[in-house]
Amino acid sequence: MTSAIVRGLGVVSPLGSDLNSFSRSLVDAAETRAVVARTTRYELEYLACHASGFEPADRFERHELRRLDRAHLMAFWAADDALAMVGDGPDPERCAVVVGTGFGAAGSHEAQSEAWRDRGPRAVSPLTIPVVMSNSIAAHLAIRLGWTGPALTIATACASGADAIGEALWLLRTGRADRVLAGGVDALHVEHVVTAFLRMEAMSSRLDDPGSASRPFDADRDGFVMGEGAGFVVLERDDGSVTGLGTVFGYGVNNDAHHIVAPPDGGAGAAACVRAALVDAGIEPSDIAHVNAHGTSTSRNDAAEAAALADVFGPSAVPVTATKAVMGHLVGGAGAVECIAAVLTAQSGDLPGVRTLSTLDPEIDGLIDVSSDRRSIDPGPALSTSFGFGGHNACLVVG
Amino acid sequence: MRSDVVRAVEEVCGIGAADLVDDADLETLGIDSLDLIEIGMILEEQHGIALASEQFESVTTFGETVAVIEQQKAAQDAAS
Repeated sequence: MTSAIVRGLGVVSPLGSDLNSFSRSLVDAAETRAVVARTTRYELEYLACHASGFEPADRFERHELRRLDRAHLMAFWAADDALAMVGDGPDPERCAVVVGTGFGAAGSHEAQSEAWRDRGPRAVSPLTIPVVMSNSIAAHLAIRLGWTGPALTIATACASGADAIGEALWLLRTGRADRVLAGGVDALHVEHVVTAFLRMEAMSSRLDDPGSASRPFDADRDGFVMGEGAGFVVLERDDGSVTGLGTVFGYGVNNDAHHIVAPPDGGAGAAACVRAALVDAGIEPSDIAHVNAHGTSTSRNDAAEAAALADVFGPSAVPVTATKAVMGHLVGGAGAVECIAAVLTAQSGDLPGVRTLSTLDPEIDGLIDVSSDRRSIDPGPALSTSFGFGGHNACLVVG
Repeated sequence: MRSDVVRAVEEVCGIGAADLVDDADLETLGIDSLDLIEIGMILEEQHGIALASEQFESVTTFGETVAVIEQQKAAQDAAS
């Protein structure tokens, strides 16, 4: 199948909000970049990885800062950086936007709900809906760029960013667009959202040791750490005429159809998704040089994912890393930012260690080749996996 | 009222009082219909003036904007 060339890359993340800082911290960061945060109302404590180097006031207009959500601004920032790497493109009608987001403008939703409850209907801004509607970020990006092709939004929870890039590949393959801006974003240090994740006991409670809280595949993992950020890529069809910073070779997507928040034991859906991505890319499992795992640091995800990877690749047959160890979980942004990380590692061969990994879970030991140490590997195609609540699986093969 | 409108415009759009003369054109100042909605919300909170977006439909200058707001205030004061 036709591949897509990555012409531009942009990130907002706890590892930095420019590509240099991000790529450096990806291998240099020694621990989870988390702090103990506290909700204003009810004073609940939780662990948070905040975006680093993201200063919206430096870049955006006053009315954008006032009217838009933090998620919009993160998306704009990453998208602008990615687009700055490419020159003039095809006609605007041949250019598309695909945005993956789990929650969209959750912070604005909370603020307007509070205004409505505390101060009445006329305290609700008439500009609320244009910001909180699920498609708002994609629509604002299209307006900002003047691109009149498809502007789509994908919501597959933690797989959203990966699905956005995968579906962008298909927009190019099917000839519906010649250039696609695709990526994912979420900005969820929002009190009711954090509270809800705490209530479902999905987040790490390691408040006494934030630096080792996100520990994918570790025996003592106890949940994910909430991050925030965005990743965007500019993709064009690989017709041999353009060069770029990387390649998207293939995409697999499916659903567990099993449980709304838990994978099946053994990760059968995840394994099928990985296989589909490899077939789509036209390569064998042995061609994959490393895996950037979803690795949330939750009990069930990591066990199911390790089983799925062992099923496809054979036991411990391919080096695995999990970058949520240092940047936390970017939810809708995760799949896109980790895809970018996988592209960088695929090209450099400089594989980040899972720095917080102390004792490999005995049930995972023998299934995957994972290390807390930074390793030198052969540059080559990478697999980036994303698995979301709802049973959504999305896998990208990149290089 | 005029000084409150100036302050609201300054807050929403970052435009200083010196530029807010009566015949200043809203488009030239960079004030759009969405800005007027936000300015209206600030004045509603301060003075209880319930402005509707259609009241600004034919407004093109800053002076006309102030006039619409003052008229609405007067109408509400008379009704109460």
